[in-house]
Amino acid sequence: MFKRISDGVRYIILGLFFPLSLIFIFLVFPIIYGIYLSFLKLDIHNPQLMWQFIGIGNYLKVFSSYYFEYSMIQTFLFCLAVIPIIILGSLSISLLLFQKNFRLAPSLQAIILIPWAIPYVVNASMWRWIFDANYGFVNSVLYQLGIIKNYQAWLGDTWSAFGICILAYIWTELPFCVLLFFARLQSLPIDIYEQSLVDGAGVWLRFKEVYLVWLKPILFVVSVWTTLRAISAFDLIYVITGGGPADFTAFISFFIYRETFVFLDFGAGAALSAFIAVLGFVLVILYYKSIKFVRLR
Amino acid sequence: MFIKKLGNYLIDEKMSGTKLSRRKALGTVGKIATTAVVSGVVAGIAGYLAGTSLGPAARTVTFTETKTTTVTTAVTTPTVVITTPTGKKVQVTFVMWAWGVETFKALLEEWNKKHPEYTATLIDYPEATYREAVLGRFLAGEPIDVLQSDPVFQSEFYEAGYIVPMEDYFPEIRNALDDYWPGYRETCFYKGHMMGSLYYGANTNLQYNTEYLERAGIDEPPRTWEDVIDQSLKIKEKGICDTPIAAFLGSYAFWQTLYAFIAGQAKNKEDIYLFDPQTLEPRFETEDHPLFNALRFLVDAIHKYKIMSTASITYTDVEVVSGMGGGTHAFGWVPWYDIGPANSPGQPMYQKLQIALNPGPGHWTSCWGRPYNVTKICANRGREAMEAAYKIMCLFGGKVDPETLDPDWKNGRWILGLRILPVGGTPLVWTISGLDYPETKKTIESYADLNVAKEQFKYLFNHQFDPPGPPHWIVKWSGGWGAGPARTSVESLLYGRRGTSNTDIMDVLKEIAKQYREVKKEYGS
Repeated sequence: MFKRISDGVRYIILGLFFPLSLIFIFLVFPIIYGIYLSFLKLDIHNPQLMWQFIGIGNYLKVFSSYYFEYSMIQTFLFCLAVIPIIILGSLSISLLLFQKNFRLAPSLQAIILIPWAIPYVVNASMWRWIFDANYGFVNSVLYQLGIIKNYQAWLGDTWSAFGICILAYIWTELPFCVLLFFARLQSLPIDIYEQSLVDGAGVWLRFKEVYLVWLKPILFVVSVWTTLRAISAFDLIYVITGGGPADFTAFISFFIYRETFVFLDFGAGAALSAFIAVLGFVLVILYYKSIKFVRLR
Repeated sequence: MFIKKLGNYLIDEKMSGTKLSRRKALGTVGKIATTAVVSGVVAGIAGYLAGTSLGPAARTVTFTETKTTTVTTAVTTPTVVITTPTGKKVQVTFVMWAWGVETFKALLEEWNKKHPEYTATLIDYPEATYREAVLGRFLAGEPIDVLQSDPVFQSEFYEAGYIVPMEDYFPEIRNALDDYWPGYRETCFYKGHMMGSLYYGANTNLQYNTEYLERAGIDEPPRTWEDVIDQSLKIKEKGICDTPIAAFLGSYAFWQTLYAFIAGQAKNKEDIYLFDPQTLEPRFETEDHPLFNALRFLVDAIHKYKIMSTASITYTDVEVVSGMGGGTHAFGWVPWYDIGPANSPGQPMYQKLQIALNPGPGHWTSCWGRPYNVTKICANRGREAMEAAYKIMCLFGGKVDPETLDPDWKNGRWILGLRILPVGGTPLVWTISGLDYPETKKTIESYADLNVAKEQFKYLFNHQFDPPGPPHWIVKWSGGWGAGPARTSVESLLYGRRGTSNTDIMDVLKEIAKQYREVKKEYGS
């Protein structure tokens, strides 16, 4: 059989063997193994049933758990807030940076990457301290301006904690999306742009017919990336609020951690992970359909 | 050469005279890769399943050991499997969490030098992920002989078959119990077996800023919960602190601190239990129970009198103590070990912090301990390994001869506690004799009233043993060091999301009782 394969293909196979092996070991196998685990009873608190095949038992358990409905709603609200802001915000900033007349563009290009370059935990700790109830910068400023009479426990109030999570998340995630849009804009054919000017296209028409068309492929990438990241947001929120107050910011990914590492039910944790992965996959397809994907080249 | 050929091919889309489209080539590769992936997965799973069904290939020799003991419990005669050849250096792996590691290491090195027949190694993991890390070692079959544990971890590890009771092999370990304050003794047990000695114990204390109380014209710390409210209102009115009360209810300390408020409402120890010690059924669904009164106090303090803020629900102990020195709080419910570092020379609160008995009719407060465990892996390695494990357990959690570092329950000293004194915290507070060591006395008296401390140690309620055991599944309800359904419900009450009336508090109590029964039904046996 191997003889029938041409030399070219054979070289490609040989060339790709090593990277594909790595992908298989570190990506494909864990995913498939994780799905496999989601069908087993792997609850350390029930040692006599360990490793038993229980079909969709873990999925049913997760879907009927005390947290599922509530955390899905919270996750949805969080995504609803952050995804449009990140996409529109990064698009706007990248267009601003692309303007020739904008003198601050070069320095802003570097500055804007700082939040993204800071490690997540450091970033989150910074936000936690900014809103600290006793020594926080925000309390200090608002108090000195006479806006508040007493220092407030911002992270101890449900909606303010939720808002802080949104703010911190946007601050951290937006720069990378700016970078993606900006990189695409760099390759915008100047003749198309000039043609639109010659044709007398206004700002809106230029945005719609030149920029947006050119940015469409990367818009898809940014949308998918932002959505998947938002659904699985964990580390930043974990450090800022720990999921509190009273689980108000405990999004669905929190419960993967909780099922796996607090309740030590690896099967339920795997089922929840698989569910989120499927959810992400469905959203990718929906984006694909809605944006009418244009091949990158 | 190969790279060049490959490069040429990818660029020119042809090689060896055969024209092949890139799409076709990649398609073929994709098919082959998919086949390889699927085959690999099937082989992997099959291999794994085959692997799990294999038994150990070790040679097994059994021996029996007769034990003599001075304690009053029945001692079984264990059968131990030997795989360690005698005459060879015995390896012991000690696992701990990352606190005081350098002191442990130094002591272990000393011990290694004095015991050439053993080689003990130390592995430490961060506290926040310790349970998962240890569990990972167990699941992976990594060497682990003696470990620092926790009553909840201990119950989980025991039920999963990872640890064995030390007293089954070395009943002498029970000697430690005589020198523990009563509240700590049960920490070492699971299902009636003494699993190991303690390496640590502490309790929640009421600590207060003496300067703030003086400025408010208050002569002595509160003795009752009414005093706490009255004094806090005075302090607030004088503009000294806006929220005089703070508690370490965040992070891993939610239950231990909440139990300090619960215990403080009770006159007798028996009244504190949330669960019936016999049936393990909840008994807190009445307005007479200390839990109801504790929640009533906290809800009023936060929402009615506004002498406590919701920040406490997420506070770490450091935040509480720093707030007590920074004009934010006058009273703090924090672990007893926090006063030492905060009340040291050079600190802004130096000589301003003091401890008081927990308010209430019985002055009860919560305490907790952490035991050492010994693993089944170690037991399976035979008598020599277990003997080494016992010696290590005594070195770090028992009385040893200061010269030889061998166990000596009669004339030895709690050596680790003494070595760790300069590091900080409050070593040896769980031991009776350790508190009377001149070095310990001197250290504790430099930052706290030792007499008040000793008085408080008589009224300690071990919150980890409510219900007794604790059942290995309790974490599904409480969340342990993290958050479970019960903690979430109680927190939402404290945040004011469930209302503030007596009916609202009762609704939450009924809710958490229901959650408990559901977990008990699923896991309890």
